[in-house]
Amino acid sequence: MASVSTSHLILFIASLIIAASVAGTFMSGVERLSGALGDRSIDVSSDIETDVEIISDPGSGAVYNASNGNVTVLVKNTGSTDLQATKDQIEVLLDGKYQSSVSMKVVDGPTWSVGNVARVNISTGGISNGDHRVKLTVNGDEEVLEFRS
Amino acid sequence: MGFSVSGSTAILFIAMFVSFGVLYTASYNGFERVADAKGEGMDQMLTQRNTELNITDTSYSGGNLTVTVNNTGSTSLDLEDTDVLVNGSYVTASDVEARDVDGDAGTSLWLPGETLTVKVNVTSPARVKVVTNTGVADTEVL
Repeated sequence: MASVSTSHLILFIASLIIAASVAGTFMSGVERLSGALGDRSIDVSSDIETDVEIISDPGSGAVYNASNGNVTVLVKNTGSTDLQATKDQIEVLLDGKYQSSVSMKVVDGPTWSVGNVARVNISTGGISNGDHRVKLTVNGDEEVLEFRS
Repeated sequence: MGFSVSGSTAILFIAMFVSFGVLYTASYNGFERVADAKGEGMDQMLTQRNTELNITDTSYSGGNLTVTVNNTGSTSLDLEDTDVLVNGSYVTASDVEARDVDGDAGTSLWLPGETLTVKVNVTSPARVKVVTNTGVADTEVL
């Protein structure tokens, strides 16, 4: 009789250990999924809240400065979240080509908060006369400015 | 054998309940965050559609350009977020000599139907553009 109850005890302990390990794996998987969901929702909501508008006046001839080859674009934060006026927050394409020498500065305040305007300076090293287009991407929001040099 | 089955079932059930709680909280928070952002975007869009402005008069004398702009839309605008571009260049606050809304120089609210008068210190202006906080703009050639 003693051997029967001993083997029952061994089987009981073994089943508890297996159940606990299955439960632990399951819970850690769910926790990882929850963390990813939270991170993704932050990304998606900031993408939705971001809205910028190019307010440069392309008819004025102030977009392209032929003497130093700089293209200057004024970008206003018209969304509902504050943005960072740093180079890595904004992608600039000029005539479809990625521009790496880009600098930006907020012209009417210390930070690029809602309603503030940032000046984006692209040093192109000179572009040909004719029609050009600049495309800016901030947090997935794309804006295009067409101008003549 | 009966104890082992019910014990391990209890452990698995508890783990499932706890996991569901964690997953539900995370997905609900995420969903709410995205829904809030969408709502704000929708509000912003409505404001933008209701915004309209019209430059009625520009005059240049003695190094000062005076621009008269009407708020012809149906939203109140904020003067702190309203920008003026002359010849395509941004006019900073230090170049603004004076500004008033219907004669009131102390206010920063620009309500529907009111007229904003801005006096800026510039040289030889040719084009002026006024931009509101939603990005709606009007351009005038002098």
